[in-house]
Amino acid sequence: MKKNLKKILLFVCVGIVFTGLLAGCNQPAQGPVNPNLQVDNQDNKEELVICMGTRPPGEFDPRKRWGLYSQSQIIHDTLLTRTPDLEIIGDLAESYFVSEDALTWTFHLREDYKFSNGEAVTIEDVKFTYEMLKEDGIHWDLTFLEEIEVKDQQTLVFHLSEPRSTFVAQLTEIVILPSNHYDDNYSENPIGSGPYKLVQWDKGQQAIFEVNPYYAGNEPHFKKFTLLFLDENAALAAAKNGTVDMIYVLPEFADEQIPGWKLYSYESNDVRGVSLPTQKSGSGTTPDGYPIGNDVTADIAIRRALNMGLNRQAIVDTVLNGHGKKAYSLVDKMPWWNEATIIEDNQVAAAQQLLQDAGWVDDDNDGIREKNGLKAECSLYHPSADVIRTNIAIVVAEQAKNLGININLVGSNWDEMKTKMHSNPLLFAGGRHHPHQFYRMHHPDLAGIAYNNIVYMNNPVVTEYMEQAMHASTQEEANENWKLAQWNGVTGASALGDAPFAWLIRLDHLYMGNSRINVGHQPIHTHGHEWSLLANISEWTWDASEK
Amino acid sequence: MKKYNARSKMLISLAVSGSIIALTIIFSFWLSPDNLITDFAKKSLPPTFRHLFGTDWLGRDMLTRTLKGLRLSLFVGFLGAFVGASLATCLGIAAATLGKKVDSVISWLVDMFIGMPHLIFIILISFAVGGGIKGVVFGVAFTHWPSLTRIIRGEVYALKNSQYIQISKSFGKSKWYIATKHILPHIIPQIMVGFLLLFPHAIVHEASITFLGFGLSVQTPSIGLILSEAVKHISIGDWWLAVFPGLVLVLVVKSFDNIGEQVKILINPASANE
Repeated sequence: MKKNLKKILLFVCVGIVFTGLLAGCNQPAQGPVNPNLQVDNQDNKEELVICMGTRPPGEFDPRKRWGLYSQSQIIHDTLLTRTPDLEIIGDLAESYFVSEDALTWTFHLREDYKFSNGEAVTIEDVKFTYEMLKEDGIHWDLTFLEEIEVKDQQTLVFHLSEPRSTFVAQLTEIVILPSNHYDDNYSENPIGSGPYKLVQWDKGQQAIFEVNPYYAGNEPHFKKFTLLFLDENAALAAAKNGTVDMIYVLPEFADEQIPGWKLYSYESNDVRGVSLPTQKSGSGTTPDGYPIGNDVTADIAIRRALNMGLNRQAIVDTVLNGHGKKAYSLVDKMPWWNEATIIEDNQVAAAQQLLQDAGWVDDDNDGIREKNGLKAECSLYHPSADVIRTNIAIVVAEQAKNLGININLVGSNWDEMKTKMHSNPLLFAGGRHHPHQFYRMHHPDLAGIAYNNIVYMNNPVVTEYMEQAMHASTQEEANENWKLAQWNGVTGASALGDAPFAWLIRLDHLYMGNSRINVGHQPIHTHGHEWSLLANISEWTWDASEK
Repeated sequence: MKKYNARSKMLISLAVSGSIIALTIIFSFWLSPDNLITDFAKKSLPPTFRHLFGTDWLGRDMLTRTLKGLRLSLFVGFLGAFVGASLATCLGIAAATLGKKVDSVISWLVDMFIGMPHLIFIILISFAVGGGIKGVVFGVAFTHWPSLTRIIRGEVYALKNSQYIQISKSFGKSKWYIATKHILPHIIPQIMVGFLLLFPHAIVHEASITFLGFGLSVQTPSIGLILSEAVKHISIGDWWLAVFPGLVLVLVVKSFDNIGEQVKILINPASANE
């Protein structure tokens, strides 16, 4: 009798658990939502609640990478800025002038900019910001900046030790900080001169932004917006509950229908690919003491075979539900992209032949090729919390098997991957509005430092082109050299040349939101889905006529 | 209608439980791994006749994934139960026969392991050996012995003082001889039942630890991994990703539990009246 009771209890428990699960489908859990923020469908809405990721990358402080992901224009201003067509125009600098030798950059600052505490933005603040970041030197490389000269209260002159064609990109990313209020706790109370100011930040929960009353530009339509830090599932649940106005969605969620909402989809150069270490194992260690090199991927035949043998379109269709494009390089669609590097992929037979010719033969018929006793086998690290990268890794491993290359997936986290990424393939990402990332990821001098050149690429021809591009005095000359660095007909950093990466896809950035929100003219998005969309939130409007 | 007596009822339930487990194993080998190849044309299909358990977000057949995942669970479960039972036997006999000092050391170990939540030990051990499938196997294998050790120790204690063992001792038989020839045969039924009852525990623990991740590759079919992935798709209503694998897991665990209970009654009929 007692035993029966136990059994009944067990089944009841199981039953409850499953009913709970099923009920979970229909009644999404409430996020940590402030009841005051409930969405009300008024004709002229001026407040927004937005879910985009689980934390603000960079925490509002440029020393912690803030600004690298298009987020510069929310609570800050920069010297220069980009139009949606990626043209460079002035922001705090009303106008600027570059000398013929590209060594002297002169900026005329506007007078009317004020920080959100009412203090004026002075030329000293600009000088302080650049000098401080140059000294810090971790995320912003400003070593070429020789001297910052204050000519008069509106004129600032940057003297460079050598021409730097990517300096202009940094000028659009480095936010101007208040010299009187900047310290190590700046993240907690960031003061800037941008259209919005941060009024509250509960870490892991929400950040609330309100209009900066001292902003010099046009007043934004939306007076207040709240970022809720929820994961993708909780965000979708909150969307169905009607507690938010705009969310970032995974491609798998893109087909969900929410009344009054629509899908916002933007092309990006936010690429995903597999890094393929180019050096043999035993090539020493990085400055931080992590091992370098992988014997399998050090063979160029393996790297090229993966580049030509993988089926990029299948990844777009399977992982991204079609919301993406094939990618061939880190700089696809940018003015410095060499279009000759587009390769024909999914050439399984040709890739197999390439491996065969290079001596990779499956002698023991286990489906994995060998060469001199070495199996064509490697690990592929991917961040297990990142759904898209994990799914890409699964499909890549499966496709590589058809080529006779065995890829073992290792789900991991960034702390571990930092120690493994110089000796193992990694599911990597990138994409910027400037070519500096291309430089960092292929230059031998930067190899092993932070996420720069993790593959230890070292091709003197490529390096020379990149140096010339960096030191070019015009943008056209620079772009010409960036293109040659990718492929000059003989060698290069692209899949046609050394193939240090197998770039696979560019994902469309997908959002779902109230269809009355007009997000303005969006540029092609870069790596980082959150701030790519939010970058121009000061230009968003509410279109009441839209149904 | 024929009335079944307790004995035939028991045999029927044993047969049913046994065949559930056997079918799981047979199907897990028989289903082709080709069903696990991603296919965008078959993404997120609800259960149909072709895909009884539906397909996942990459177009992989969930029935195949579930059964292949359960095979790993069964393997780890078997290993956990086997190592657990062997350790328990050795330690139990040692504690009871090798004197006070050994006894207190082993009892202290048992108390420590029982006092600490099971899952935490599994996590610690699997971290210590470097995670991955090895971590799961070691973690589950080396944490399921304490309670059985305690039972066996008590059993051996009682036996030790029985007359025939005292006589054997005075004949000058060695401790090893007494342990293997007199004590072991007596406690074999306990070990058998203990082994069978450890099995479902080990399976559930394997599922929970793979649910938590622990460096297990996403290529490895595993029931815990399936369930943790399913959680991420519940919000778009893909209920079949969680419900069927969960049900099959419960079914298999319950079958093992049932076999263990029935064998216990068979071996020790007196306990049937408890």
